[in-house]
Amino acid sequence: MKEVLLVKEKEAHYHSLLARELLLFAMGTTVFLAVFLFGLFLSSDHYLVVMWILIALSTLYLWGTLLYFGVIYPRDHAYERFYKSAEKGLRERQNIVFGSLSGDDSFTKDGMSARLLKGTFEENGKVFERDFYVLGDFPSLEKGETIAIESFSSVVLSIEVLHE
Amino acid sequence: MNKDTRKRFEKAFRYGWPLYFLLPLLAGVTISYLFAVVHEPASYEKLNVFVASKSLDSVAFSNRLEEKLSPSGLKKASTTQGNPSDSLFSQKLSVVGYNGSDLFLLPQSVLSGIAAEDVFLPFSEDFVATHAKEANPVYYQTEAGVYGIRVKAKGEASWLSSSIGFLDEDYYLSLNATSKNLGNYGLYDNPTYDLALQAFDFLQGDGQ
Repeated sequence: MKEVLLVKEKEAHYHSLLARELLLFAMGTTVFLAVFLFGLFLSSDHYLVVMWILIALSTLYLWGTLLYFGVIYPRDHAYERFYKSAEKGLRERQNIVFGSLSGDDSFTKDGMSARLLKGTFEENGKVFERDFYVLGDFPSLEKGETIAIESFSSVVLSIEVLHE
Repeated sequence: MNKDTRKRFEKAFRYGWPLYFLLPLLAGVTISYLFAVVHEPASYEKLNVFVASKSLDSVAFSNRLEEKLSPSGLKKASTTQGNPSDSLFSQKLSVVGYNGSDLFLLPQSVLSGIAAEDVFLPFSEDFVATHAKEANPVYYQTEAGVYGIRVKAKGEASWLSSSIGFLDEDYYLSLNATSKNLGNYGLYDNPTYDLALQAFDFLQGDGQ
């Protein structure tokens, strides 16, 4: 099978990314607090300019904090959590007939942006539809190709083209 | 900001936009409050004058005082004004004035209604010799001692009239005995903190 998602590498990547981001945030917070306290306590009695600079800095800091903890951290944490689980959890293997793959990653799977892979499989003489999520690159396939998919939580980890 | 981050931010902003405005607003108010608290002048760097009058141009009066005394270390001058004909005047005088004012500019009618010895600094001979500016000063005197010096006589004009709407009475200048700006005369032994005495001298003069 061909791995389309290098789980171990991705998990390590997001783990260190989160650590770097948090460190950066902590450093930014320290610098901000230091500047804030210096400005507050060491400014002269004519403090109007310093006060407005600190208000502007605080605004930027708060917006940055909202952006980080409202958008960036939850996203990266979702990826890290998924890859950590995928590394240890039970994987599913299924043969399906490839149907389509969406062009952009506008679908959301547990907080991660993903493309939607549609396929069908046959069981007890009946044909069922099955959706998978694709993170990252995926080889181009023709509609109707039969593939074996190894997935975790419906996210494609590996594929193998079986026959047409 | 990459495409994915921007898309997620736009979605988060759609729901959480009030936070992006309210938090900086709250921060601004908090910061300006903190600056005001941290840079609040110490008690020996500010003066409050209680004025019993019909009206008072507080800004002009305070600015004049600050202009005169800032070289001596005055950072903030403020006033408290009360009209003696108001029903709450006596409460204002006793609560705000006695507890927070360094100097009092009061008419005869108000002075005669209060126990001056409980609040005001008694003028000693040494004090009078040093701080009475007129050749023949008129004092507000009770059995307990001298507690005020006349700065405006009834019917006469004064340079203070440009900012104070005086009642048609004699006006006396007194000092709060608990002020921290009385040099060696008050309750505290702090000879260098004498802004109230300097203001006392200045207000007796002709405004120059």
